[in-house]
Amino acid sequence: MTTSLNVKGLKMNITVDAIDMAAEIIEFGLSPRKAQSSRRLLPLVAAYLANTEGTRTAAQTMARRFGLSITSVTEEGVVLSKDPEQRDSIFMLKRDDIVKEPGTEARLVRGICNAAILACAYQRQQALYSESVQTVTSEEVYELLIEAAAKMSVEDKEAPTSMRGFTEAAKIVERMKADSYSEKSNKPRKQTLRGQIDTAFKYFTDHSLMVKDSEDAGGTYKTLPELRVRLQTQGAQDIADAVLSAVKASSADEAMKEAMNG
Amino acid sequence: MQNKQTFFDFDDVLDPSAQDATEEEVANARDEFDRLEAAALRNRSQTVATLSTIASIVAQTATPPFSHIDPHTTGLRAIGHAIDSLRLLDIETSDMTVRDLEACVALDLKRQFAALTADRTITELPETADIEAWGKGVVDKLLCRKEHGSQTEMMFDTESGKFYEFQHALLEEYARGGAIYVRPTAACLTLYLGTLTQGIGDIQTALAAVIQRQIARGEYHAALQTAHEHQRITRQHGEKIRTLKRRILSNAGRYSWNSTVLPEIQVAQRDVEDAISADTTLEELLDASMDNLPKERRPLAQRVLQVIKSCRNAYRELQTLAMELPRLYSSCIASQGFTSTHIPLPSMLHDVFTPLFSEVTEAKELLAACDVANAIFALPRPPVLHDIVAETELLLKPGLSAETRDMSPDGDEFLDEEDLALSIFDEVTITKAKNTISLMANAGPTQLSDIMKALEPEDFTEECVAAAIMISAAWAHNRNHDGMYAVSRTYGYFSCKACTGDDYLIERKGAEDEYHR
Repeated sequence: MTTSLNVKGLKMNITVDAIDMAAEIIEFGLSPRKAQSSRRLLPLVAAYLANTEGTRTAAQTMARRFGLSITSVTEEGVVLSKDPEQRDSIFMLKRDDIVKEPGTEARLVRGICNAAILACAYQRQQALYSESVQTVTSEEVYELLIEAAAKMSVEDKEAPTSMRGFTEAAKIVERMKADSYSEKSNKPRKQTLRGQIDTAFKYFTDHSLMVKDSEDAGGTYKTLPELRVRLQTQGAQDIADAVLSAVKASSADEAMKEAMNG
Repeated sequence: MQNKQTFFDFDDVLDPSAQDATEEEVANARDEFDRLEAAALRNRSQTVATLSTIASIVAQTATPPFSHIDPHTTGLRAIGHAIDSLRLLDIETSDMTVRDLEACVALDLKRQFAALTADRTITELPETADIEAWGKGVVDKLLCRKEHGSQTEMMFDTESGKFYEFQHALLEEYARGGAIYVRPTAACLTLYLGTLTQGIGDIQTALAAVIQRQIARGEYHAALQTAHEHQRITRQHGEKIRTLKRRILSNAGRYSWNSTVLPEIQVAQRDVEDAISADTTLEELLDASMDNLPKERRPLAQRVLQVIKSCRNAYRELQTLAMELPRLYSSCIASQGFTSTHIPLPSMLHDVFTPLFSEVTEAKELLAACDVANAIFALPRPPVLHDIVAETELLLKPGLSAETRDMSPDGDEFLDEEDLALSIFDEVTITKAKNTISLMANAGPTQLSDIMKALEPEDFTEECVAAAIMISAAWAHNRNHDGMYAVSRTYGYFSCKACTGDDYLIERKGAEDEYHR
């Protein structure tokens, strides 16, 4: 049995089987990774790779209609992302999908922790190409942040007390760096830098982007393929572009302030 | 055979070198020679770099009794464990975790210490904890973990005339089904298995002959040993076909079908056929002689048979893989979409973290960059759709803002009941809400939260609710509010005294140019 699909003005005949498989691919992408069974996934991957005019076209068309894009379909799993061109998708993310706590401070802290975790995991460009698992520890991320903040204070000895001259990120780290542990569980308190790093790691492990390997060094985590695929396909470039434009906007603001003062 | 021939009869259009082949070949002969020489140089230098890693294990400054250990054998045996854990049919998949490997290395070390004690080189065995820690060190070194010095060497590629970074880890960790396993790297497999230079099929045939003779003589221990060797070469064969597949995937256009890909596939096919026929003969021989064997010999003969059978099955799989390569080549040539290694990716330390941390001085800019970094990892999630009538009832209960969102799993029923929801308000309220929306949206793109901010201080609470219903209904039904205001959902929330909900951007349709002007 076949049905016809209109893609970019072309009428194509696609079997119901192909549509069924396409729908299953999207279902795989939307379901939590734990539920993905490789026995079910492999025939879908084969169909997606081989049947480009059937299963692949149907899956991509369906995904696009939902405001999604298919990032990768491999035996490691299906990775879907939000189609950047469709802002008004029903799958559009809400802020609390990422950070549960309200306010801008929580978003800032999470962003800085995420950037530090990624910096430790994918320090070299080549690491993003490699299929190897990367290991990151909570201690390593904490040290990276503390060292970066300390470097700022060394560079700007003029006003260390009021923290003038510090960047926004350094101010946050300076404010939160003091250690405080819960008496019961002996874990870092949530509002400390270590606590926030752990929360950021928890987000990665909850979303099957990383796996916790051991409790060594404050928690040792290993990267899972989906994290690399997300970064490799577009994510890394998007983050780097956003950082670049933030840097440019910051220096423009600085210049303007100086001009006004001068 | 006929089928196979048509399979290989590739459309010449796909082969860039098919036209004027002779002329082009002559012109490119020198380039091709240089390319091959560069590739050979690169392989050799990478092998040397890898060897130096093993040597660096030797150079570890160890105190007695660990200074008496033979680090070469320890390192090579550790690699051997990882290679043996690879599956026969799938050379990229192993079932060994890092801890398993550490345990194997510790066991090997204990054997060495037992021998040293027997030799009286050392007086007493070291503590088990020390042995395990030393074993872990060996595995860490082979994995090139961060804390064990530089992970990379700068090496020179004569073909491109540039330096490149070579990561000389012999083992690598990889994830499968949420768990982490260890497997040898491609460089390690090349080093370990690549010492054999003659055709793989010939070696398999020779090995089969050896096994046959050993079986005939009743030397089943020796036959099992040879069969294991046979298994390793099967893995090497898998590696060869995998390399070919990788080449095609990485840059199919660079390899000519007639001069590179087809000959390699044909050689691989011939080798596979030789190996399969040799394995079949052996299997028949073992099957036939099994009944005549004395009982105590049977389990050993059974194991030899098992190894041979698994090799034959592996070859069948490899044969299928090789048969699929022409189609793969064709689709790669057609799409050329696999060359991910040519896309420059940023370094997450130098291009992201360092500038974000030390160069962004404005909080607003930092927040924008952080939001992008956070959003990359948020996975698409199906939304909860709201029952608008139920929501309205809840909305009219002031002070219970936390309860006003129907998040129950059954709340996915969606009803087109905007009019019903609005019927509880009088006309003046609805008109006031509509007028405020139009007034603000006509001035420029506005948000529902801004409309709330305008209405709420003047105690127009009901108007707030009416506006919220109208805007969310327009979005849910994918239509314009009042026929002329496009509504799109934003990341934020609005909240007033009586209600709370998703925030929406309201823009007058087709008025972008007007706004800009």
